[in-house]
Amino acid sequence: MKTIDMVKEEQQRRLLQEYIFDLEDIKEKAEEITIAHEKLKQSQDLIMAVLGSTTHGICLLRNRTFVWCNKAFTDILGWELEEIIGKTTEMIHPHIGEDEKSNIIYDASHNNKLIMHEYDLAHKDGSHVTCLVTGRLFDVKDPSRGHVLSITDFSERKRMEEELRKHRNHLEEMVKERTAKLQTANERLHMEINERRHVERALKESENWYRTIFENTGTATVILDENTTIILANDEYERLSGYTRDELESKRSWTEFVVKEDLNRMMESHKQRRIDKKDAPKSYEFRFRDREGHIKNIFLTIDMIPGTKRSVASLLDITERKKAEDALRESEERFSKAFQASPTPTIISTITDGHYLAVNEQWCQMMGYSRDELIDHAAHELSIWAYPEERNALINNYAERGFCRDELIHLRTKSGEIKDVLCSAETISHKGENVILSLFHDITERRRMEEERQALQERLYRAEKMEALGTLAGGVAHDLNNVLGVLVGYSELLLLKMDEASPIRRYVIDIMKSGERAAAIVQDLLTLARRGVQAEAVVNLNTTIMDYQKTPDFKKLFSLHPKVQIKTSFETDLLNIMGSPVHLGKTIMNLVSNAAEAMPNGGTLNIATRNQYLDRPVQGYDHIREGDYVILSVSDTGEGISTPDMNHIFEPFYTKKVMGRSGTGLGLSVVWGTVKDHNGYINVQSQEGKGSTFTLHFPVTREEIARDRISVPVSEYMGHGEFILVVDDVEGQRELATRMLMELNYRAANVSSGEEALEYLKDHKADLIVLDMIMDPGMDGLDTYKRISEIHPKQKAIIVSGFSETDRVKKAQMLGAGAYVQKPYIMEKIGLAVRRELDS
Amino acid sequence: MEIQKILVVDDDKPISSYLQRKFAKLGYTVYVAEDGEEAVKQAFSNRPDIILLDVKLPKMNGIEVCKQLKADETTKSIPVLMLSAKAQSFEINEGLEAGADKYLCKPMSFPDILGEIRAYERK
Repeated sequence: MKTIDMVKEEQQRRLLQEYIFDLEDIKEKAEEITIAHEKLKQSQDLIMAVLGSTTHGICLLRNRTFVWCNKAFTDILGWELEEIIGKTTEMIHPHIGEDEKSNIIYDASHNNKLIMHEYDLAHKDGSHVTCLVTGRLFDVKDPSRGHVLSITDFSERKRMEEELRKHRNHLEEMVKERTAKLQTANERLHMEINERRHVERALKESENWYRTIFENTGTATVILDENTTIILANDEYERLSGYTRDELESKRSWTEFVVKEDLNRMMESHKQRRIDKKDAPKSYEFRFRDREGHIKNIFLTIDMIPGTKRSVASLLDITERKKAEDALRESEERFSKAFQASPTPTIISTITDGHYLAVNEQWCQMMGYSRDELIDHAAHELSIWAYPEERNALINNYAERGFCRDELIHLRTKSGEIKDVLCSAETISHKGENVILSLFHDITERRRMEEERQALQERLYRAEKMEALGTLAGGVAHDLNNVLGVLVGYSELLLLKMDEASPIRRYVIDIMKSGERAAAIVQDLLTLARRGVQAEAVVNLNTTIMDYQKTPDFKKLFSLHPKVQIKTSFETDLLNIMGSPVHLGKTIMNLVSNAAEAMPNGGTLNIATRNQYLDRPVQGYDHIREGDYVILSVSDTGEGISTPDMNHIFEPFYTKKVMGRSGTGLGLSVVWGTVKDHNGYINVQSQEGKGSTFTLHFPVTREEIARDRISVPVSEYMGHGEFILVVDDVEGQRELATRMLMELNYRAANVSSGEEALEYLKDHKADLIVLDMIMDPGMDGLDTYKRISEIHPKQKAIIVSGFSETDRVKKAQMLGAGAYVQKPYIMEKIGLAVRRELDS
Repeated sequence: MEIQKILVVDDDKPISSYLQRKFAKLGYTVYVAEDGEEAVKQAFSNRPDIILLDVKLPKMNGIEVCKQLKADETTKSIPVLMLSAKAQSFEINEGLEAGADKYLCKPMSFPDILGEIRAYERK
């Protein structure tokens, strides 16, 4: 039979069996828990790395109160973690209550859609940070568990990189801390098997928690294996790539989403990052190709998951931003090209102080400055404003209206020329700044042409008027002459037949005298009509003036005007003109008597003659052609002529004098007619109160007056067959000189430029050269003489010029050239100069 | 021989459920009976490849169960491993005489029990 001990033993064995199985079970569960913890830790490492790598601020909200947030979140907004946790969202969004749109994001709890808005969030320092905010429920089934917000600050990508690094260290600590906590939990779990369910739930929740955050960062995020496989991808990445998670995870490589051109560079980084992550870029841009083949510009942030060969990458689609940036750049390029190529002078300047920011080529050309001389300087600093008051007016105008259109201003170029310019300006935005764009239109030339045209029209009008008046006067004179012939003729006859003592004889004499006076007026009218003037005699004006000074008229005039002082200045070698001595005498008389009468209170009357060579036309009262002229000028220091009168002074009977006191009202008309009949020109300069000057230009003649002249005997300057070369660019001048010299028994040839002279002298030799100083185009006289001296040292030469003696003439003379003869010259003058130079 | 189905007979619930869970985890199909009559019924209906049999059982003890199974043509070839807290030599003899193929004394660790099962698999 069984003993008590045996029964006890059996019971103990049975109990032990249960204990052993219990122990085994505990051991097994403990192992499972250890594995679970390991998994949890890995999961947390992973998620923390994801959250740490992202440049997006992420937080968990419950009832609008911050429960958790990552460092990026605090960094974007400047708050400390402990300052945020437990606070409400009003802290970062002070106007939340007023803005219905804002409420949506914080009340995202009502649906499971990803909500996205752009907000200005409050930074701790009071500034605003523009962020893209996305929000989504943490747990769709249980809205009370709050929701996840993600904020993205575009503007501070770089700064965030640095902070991410710090943040990761912080996370590592957090992970360590958590691991320690979990270890404690582990030990407890070893002892209390019943708690395992709770742990499992915690694990599941924790995973959900991090997974939710991973899903809701608002950016496409992936975890990548060393062999480039995508291990994990979130919703955003699905959207970006066009593939579902099932098609992506563990099935596709990230390389499939990169355009060919960017792949090599990224593959290098991928490898390098796994060797030493410091050597690989943490963020860069690349081109992403989605399922449909669309190319997107992506800003990528990537980092390694600590302790693994895996990396986590956030992809931000910046295609639209990039497009906008490109469009802006292209637009700026287009503007710049248009600006530079514009045929309109254009500048861009600052509003505040008018400094030039940009000037185009046309502006530089117009103003004569180089770009470097202008940029960063203001117009008023360079004295570009000819009249500063115009600048002030323009600035005021601009300030009032914000623009200006075709305002006439005057600008001074670098060379000092004043330009008439129309200015239009308005404010534009250039490189993000408000500046003034000004366009200019140079109308200087146009205005000059207009003025010229105006003057031409006036002259034409005057000439036509005088012509018409002349025709009229001519017609009247012709008929009047017939009438007067009868009047005077019969008066004369009456006197012959009348008794010497007849009391009416006095009346007949008056009739006859009046008739004669009328005939004189008619004669003047005929002059004006330009009929009957015979300009066929060779006249020297000096002689004509001296003849007039001997007349009783002249003496009578100065007895009437005793306070008038008369001065004469005659050119001794005055050239001759072809003309009518009678009309020229009348002209001088009219001018002198007008001058004297213009000075009732006395003054100086100046009569002058001179020779003048004009090498270019002169604009004045008349349009005077180039050529050789004899000039007669009569000036006074009297009352002067008013501008309105100036246009009429040559018209018949237009007089300021008291009628009947002197003259016939035809004085200046006779002057006009005479000058025109001599193919001459008139210039009048007058200033009221200062006096007037009448300058008459008569073309010279080379014909000699038949009468004897006091001059050097020709024998003294005759040539002996010497060879003379004439160099002059004006054909008439060179022919004249050549003919004169040949007349004087020289042999002569001529060339039309310095260059031709050099060519000619290569195989010819000249005893003397007559050298014109001013020649255009080509070398002038000085340069020509220098070059000739190189071939023929000590070459004899005389210099002729229409201008007065200049430095260049003196230089040529220092080099060995002889006398200087001013144009126009007479045979005697040039003959003597040549003779003396040859004999020296 | 191949073992796929195991019949575990024990009235001690923690033990039978532990064994059931452990064997199931290893891929075996496990049947559990908590008394002798149930054990015989299941042995016929489920035709297990091996039976792990406790001796002290309600309704019919393990010795009796073993005898009945070994007496029937259809079940006598099924190896019966007795697992009992009764460890006296006469008790062991009684079990072996009833036809048990192996008599195991409690307490046994699960690896040891598995070892015995595996030993039959290799035969």
